[in-house]
Amino acid sequence: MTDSRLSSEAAASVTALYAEHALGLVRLAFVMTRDRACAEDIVQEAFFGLYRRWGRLPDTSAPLAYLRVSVLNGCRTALRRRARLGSLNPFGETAEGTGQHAESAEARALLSEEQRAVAVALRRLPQRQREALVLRYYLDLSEEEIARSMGVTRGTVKSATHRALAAIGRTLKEGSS
Amino acid sequence: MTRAEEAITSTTRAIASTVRDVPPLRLEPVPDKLRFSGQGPARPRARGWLGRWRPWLAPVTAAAVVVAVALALVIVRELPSGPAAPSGAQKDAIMNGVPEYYVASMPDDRPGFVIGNTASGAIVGTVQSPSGVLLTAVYGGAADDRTFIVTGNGSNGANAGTQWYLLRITPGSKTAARLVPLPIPVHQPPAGVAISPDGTKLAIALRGTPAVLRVYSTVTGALLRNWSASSGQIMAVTSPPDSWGNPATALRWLPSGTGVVFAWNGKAIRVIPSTARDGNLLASATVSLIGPVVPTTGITVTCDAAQGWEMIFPGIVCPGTWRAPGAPSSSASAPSGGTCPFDQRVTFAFDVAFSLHGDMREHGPVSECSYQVRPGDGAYIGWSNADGSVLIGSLVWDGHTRFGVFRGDSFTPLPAIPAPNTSATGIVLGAVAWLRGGR
Repeated sequence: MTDSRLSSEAAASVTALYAEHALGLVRLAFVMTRDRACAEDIVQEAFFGLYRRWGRLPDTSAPLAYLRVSVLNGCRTALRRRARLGSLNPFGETAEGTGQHAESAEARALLSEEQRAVAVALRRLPQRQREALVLRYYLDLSEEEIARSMGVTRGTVKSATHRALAAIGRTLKEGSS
Repeated sequence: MTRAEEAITSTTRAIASTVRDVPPLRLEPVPDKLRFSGQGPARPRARGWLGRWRPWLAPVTAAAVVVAVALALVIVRELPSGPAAPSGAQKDAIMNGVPEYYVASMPDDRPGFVIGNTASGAIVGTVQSPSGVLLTAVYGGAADDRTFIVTGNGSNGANAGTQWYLLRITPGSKTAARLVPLPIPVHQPPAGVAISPDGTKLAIALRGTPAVLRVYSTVTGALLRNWSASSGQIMAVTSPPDSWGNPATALRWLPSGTGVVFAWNGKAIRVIPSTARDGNLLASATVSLIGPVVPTTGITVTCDAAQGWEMIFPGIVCPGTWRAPGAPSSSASAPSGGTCPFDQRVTFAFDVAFSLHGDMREHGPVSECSYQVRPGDGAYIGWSNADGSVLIGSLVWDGHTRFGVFRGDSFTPLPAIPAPNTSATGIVLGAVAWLRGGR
C-alpha cells in the first residue's frame, strides 16, 4: 500500500472514529482533569497519535482501547504538569482551600452539595485511585478492562478501587455528620 | 451499590454531562523547529495540533505567571569543578561572569531535580523526589550558594499538601546534594518563598485574606515572625485570585539579611525589617518602589527580543533589542497597515528587574491580528548580575523559547535547556535563585 493511500485511509478511519468516540473521550478527560480546553486537547492529541501510527498499530480493530489509554496518559501528563505549574496546586484550588478550580461555572452549578464534595474528594485522590474509580463508575468498565486501560494488574485495580471508595466514603460520612 | 458508589457515579456523570460538543478533528503535523532569523523565511505559524495545544495552556498560565512552574531554574554559582567542567574556550565564551551551574526540574516522568553545568549542559548531580512526594519548585539565594529551599507536593495522608526541604549542594563529596525535610507547618501553596542569606531563616508569603508573611527557622521550624494585611496580596504580577502566582519572584531577602522585600499587588515593592514586631504587615513595611506597569497600546509594539532574534507578527517584523533591566524600553512602531492591537505590561521588581514578565493581554479586536498573544509569552530572568547587565533567562514567544545568556544587546544560547519537553509552552523560570552579583 502506498504512503498516500495509507494516509488517506488513516485519515478517513480516524475521522470516523472521532465522530463516534470524541465526545465520550472528551468527557472522560474532563472528568479526570476538570479542564475543558485541556480535555479537548488531550483527545485531539490522542486521535492525532492514532493517525500517525495507523499503519503501525498492532490491532486497528480495537482503536477505542488504544484511544482510551492515550487519553489517560494525556490526563496524567497534564495533571503532573499542572501540579508543577501550580506549585503544589494540582487541583487548582485557591490557597484558602476553597475548592475553586478551572471548571466552568455551569459544571459547578449542576452539582449538588454532595456531588461537589465527592468531586473535591475525587480530585484529592492519588492519580491511580481516581482513574480506577472513574473507569469503574463512570465508564462502567470491568476490572479486566480497567486493568488493561491503566496498564496494571487486576489486583492493583481492586486495591486502588477499595482504597478510593473508602476515602470517598469517609468524605460522605464527614459531610453528613 | 453503596452510597459512595452511587455518589461517584452520579457525580462523574453530572460533570461529564456538561460537555456537549467537541471541536472538529485536526490531523496536522506538529511543527517542531524553532524559527531563527537568518535561517530563511519564517515558517507559517502553527495552526495545527500544536496551535491547539497552546490554548489550553493559556488558562493554565493565564494571568499568571508563568513562572511558577514547569521548570524551576536555580543557578548555583561558583560550584567547584564537577565531572563535567566546560571546556576552556566554551567556558570563556559563555561563562564570563555568569553562574556555572543550575538546578532545574527534570522531565515529568522523572520527578526530581538535576544539577547541571550551564555551559556544557552536562548533568553533574540529581535530586530525587522522596517517596510519596512530587518535588515541584526550588528556591535559592543563600549567600553560600550551597543552600536552597525545595518544595514538594505530598499526595496523601500525613504528607498531604506542601512539603518543605533544605537542599544542600555538596560539591566534591560522594553525594552531590542532600535533601533534608524541614518541619515547616505550611501546607498550602505559597505565594512567595525566600531563604535568608545565612540560610537559617525562611520567609513564606501566603495568599488569601489576610495576606500573610511569616519567617520560620530552617533549623527548628519555629515561627519567628508573623505579619499580615487585611487587604491586598503579596504578588509580583497581578493575577486573578484563583490563578497561579509566581512564588519565586514575589519575595526575597535583603542581601544583609536584615529585612524581607516583597512585591505588593503587582505594583509596589515594600521592605519590612526582620526585627519588626508581629502584626500589621503594611504598617511596618516601607515602600521602596512603585510601578511598574508600562503599557504600550495601539499599534506601538514594545520589542523585547535578543540580538539575532525577531518577533514576527503578520506583516510586522520587529527587530528587537534586549532591554536591560531598568533601561529605557526599546520600542518600534508597527507599520501603519499592520494593526496588532494589544498592550503589554512589563513588570519590574526591586532595584533590578528579575521578573521581566510579559503579561500580554489581547486588547481590542483580535480579528485584526491573527497572532494572538498568549499569557505567558514574554521574557523571564533566572539570574542577573548586580547591575543587571548580564542575565540568564528565556524569551518565550510564539510557542518557542530562547534560553541563554543576555549580555547587553548580545545573546548567547545555552546548551543547557533544562527540560526537553517544554517546547509548546516555552521555558519559563519557575524558581529563581537570587544571587548577589556575578563573579
